[in-house]
Amino acid sequence: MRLPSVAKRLDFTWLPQAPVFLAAAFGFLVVAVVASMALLRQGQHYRDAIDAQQRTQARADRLLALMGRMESGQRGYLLTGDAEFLSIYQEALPALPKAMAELNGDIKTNTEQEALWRRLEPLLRNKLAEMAETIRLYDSGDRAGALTMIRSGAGLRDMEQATDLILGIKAKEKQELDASYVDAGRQEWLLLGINALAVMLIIAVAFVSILIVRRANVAMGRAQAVLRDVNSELEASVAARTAELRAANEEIQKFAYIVSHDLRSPLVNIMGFTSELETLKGELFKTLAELRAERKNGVTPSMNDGPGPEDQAIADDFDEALSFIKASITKMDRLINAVLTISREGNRTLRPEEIDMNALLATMSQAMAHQVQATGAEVDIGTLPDIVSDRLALEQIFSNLLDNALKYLRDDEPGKIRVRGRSEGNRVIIEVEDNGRGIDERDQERVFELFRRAGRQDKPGEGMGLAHVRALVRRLGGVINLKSKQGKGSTFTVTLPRSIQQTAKRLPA
Amino acid sequence: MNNAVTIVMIEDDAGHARLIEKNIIRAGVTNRILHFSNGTTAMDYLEKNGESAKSLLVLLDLNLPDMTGIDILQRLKSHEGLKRAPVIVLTTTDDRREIERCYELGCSVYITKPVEYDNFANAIRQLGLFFSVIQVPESA
Repeated sequence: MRLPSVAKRLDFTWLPQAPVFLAAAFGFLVVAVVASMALLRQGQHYRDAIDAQQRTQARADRLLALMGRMESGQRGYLLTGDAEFLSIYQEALPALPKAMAELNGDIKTNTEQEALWRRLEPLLRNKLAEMAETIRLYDSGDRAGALTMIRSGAGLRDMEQATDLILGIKAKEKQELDASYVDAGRQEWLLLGINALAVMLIIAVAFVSILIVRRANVAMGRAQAVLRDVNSELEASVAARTAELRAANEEIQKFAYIVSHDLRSPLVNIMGFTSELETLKGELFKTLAELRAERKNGVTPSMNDGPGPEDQAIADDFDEALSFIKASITKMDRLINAVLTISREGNRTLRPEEIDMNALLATMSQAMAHQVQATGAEVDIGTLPDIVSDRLALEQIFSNLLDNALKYLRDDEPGKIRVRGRSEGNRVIIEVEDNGRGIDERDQERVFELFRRAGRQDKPGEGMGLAHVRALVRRLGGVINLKSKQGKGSTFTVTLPRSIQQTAKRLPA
Repeated sequence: MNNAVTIVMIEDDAGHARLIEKNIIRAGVTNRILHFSNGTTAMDYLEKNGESAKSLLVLLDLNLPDMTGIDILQRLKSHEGLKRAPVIVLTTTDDRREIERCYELGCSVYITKPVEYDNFANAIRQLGLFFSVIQVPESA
C-alpha cells in the first residue's frame, strides 16, 4: 500500500507562503493607491498656488501699467493742454483703486510682501495726489504752479520708488513661483515613481498568481495521477484478494465434498459387513444350539433356529455390540450428509429475486402451525422490509431460526417468539427473538460451529442448523449475531444486503 | 438373463465388490462376474475382448483411482463394439449433476450405494431381478 507516500509526493510545503506573499503585495498596492490619491490632492494644491502666484504677478504688472498710463496722460496734458491726454488719465483713474485692492488682497497673507506693500501704498497715494494736484492747478490756469510741482521732482521720485517696489513684489512672487514649480515637479516624479512601483507590483502579483495556478494545476494533476495509481492498485488488490478467497472457498467446498464422499465408501463396507456378521451370528448360534441339542439328546432339532438358553447371554452381547456399531454408522452417515448439504449449498448458484419477506415468513409460520400449537407458543411477526435475495437460502435461514426458537423453549413459561425487521441504509436487519432457555455466554460462538450444540442435550439434532444458517447468511453477503442470556431467551440478528445483485459480483461465489 | 452374458464389475473397493457379488448371487443370478479394481485393466479387457465376448453388462463405480467412471462410460459409449452394452452405474456419488451427466452419456441405470445395508442389499437384489428380464444385445 503506497498511501503514505502520496502526501510526500504532492509536496504542499510552498503553499502556505504564497498567500503571505499575495497579501503583502495587495497591502502594498493599497498603500500605493492611497499615496497616489494624496499626491494628486497635493498636486492640485500646488497648481492652485502656482495660479495664484501668476495672477499676483499679472496684477502687479497691471498696477504698474495703470500708474504709467496715468503719469503719461498727466504729463502729456500738462505739456500740450490736449484733452486727449487728460482723458487717458481720467479713464485709468477709476480702475486704480480696484487694481490696488486686488494686489493687496493677493499678498497680504505674506508678511514679507505685506511689508513691501505698506511702503508702496503711501507712495502710490502721494503720486496720485501729486498728479491730481498738478492737473487741478493747470485747469485753474496756474500752469506755472503745476510745472513747478513737477520740476520739484517729488512725483518722479515717488513714481520710481513705487515702480521699484512693485517690481520687487513681482520678483518675490516669481521667486516663490519657481520654488512652487520645483516642488510640483518633485511631487510629480514621486507620483510617477509610486505608480511605476505599483505597476511593477501588479505585474509581479500577476506573475506569482500565474505561477501559483500553474503549480497548483501541476500538483493537482500529480495528485490525480497518484489517486488513479492508488485506486487501480486497490482494485487490483481487491480483485486478487477476491480471487484468492474464491479459490480458497472452492478448495474448501471441494475438500468437504471429496472427504464426505470418500468417508461414505468405507462406511458402506462397515455397514455391509456388519450386516453380514449379523447373518453369520444367526447361523452360528443356530449351529451352536443344534450341536448342544445333539450332544444332549442325540437328536437334531429341526425347528430350533435361535440361540439356546445357554448361549443367550453371549448372543445378547453380540447384539449389543452390533447395535452400537450400527448406531454409530447411522450417526456418521448423518454427519457426512450434513457436511455434504453445506458444501452443496456453497456450490449452488444464487438466484436473486424480489422477495416479500412478510409473505415468506407468513408461509413459514403456517407450515409450523402444528408445532406451534403443540408447544403452546405464540409467534408474532412484525412488518418486514422487502429484499432482493435468494429465496431458498432465506427460507432455510429463517425456518432454521424459527425451528430452533420453538425447539428450545422453556417448560415453565409460555413461549413467545417475535420476528422484527427494519431497513438501515442499503441493509436489511431481521431479528428473531425468543424467551426460551437461552445460550450460555461461553457457548455463543460455539453454537455456530458445525456439530456443536449447547445446553441440555434433550432434543434431537446434529448441531448443524446454526452452522448452516451462518454459512447461508455469509453466502448472501450478510452477518448473523447472537444476543442471549441463559434462562431468559435469545435474539438472533440477521443483517443482509437489501439487494444481493450489487454484492454478488464482489463476493466469492 | 442369458447365462452367456458376462457381468463386468469395475469397482476399486474390494469390500463393495464382495458385497455386490454376494447380493447378486443371493438374488439368484448365476452369470459369470468379472471383477476389475481399476479402470485401466477393465478398459484393456473390454477393448480387447469386447468384440469376441458374446454379450456384456457393465457395473461401474464412478470413483476409481486411475480414471473416473465418467471417462470409462464415455469410452464405452464411443466404442463401436461396446456402445450397446448396458452400463449400470453403481456408486456412492449422489450428486445431481453427476447423475445427469451419466444419463446424458448413455448409462442405463444409475444406482446410489446407500449406507443402510438393507437398502443396499435390496437395491442389488432388485438389480438381480432386473438382470433376469433385461435383454442384452449380442455383439456382432
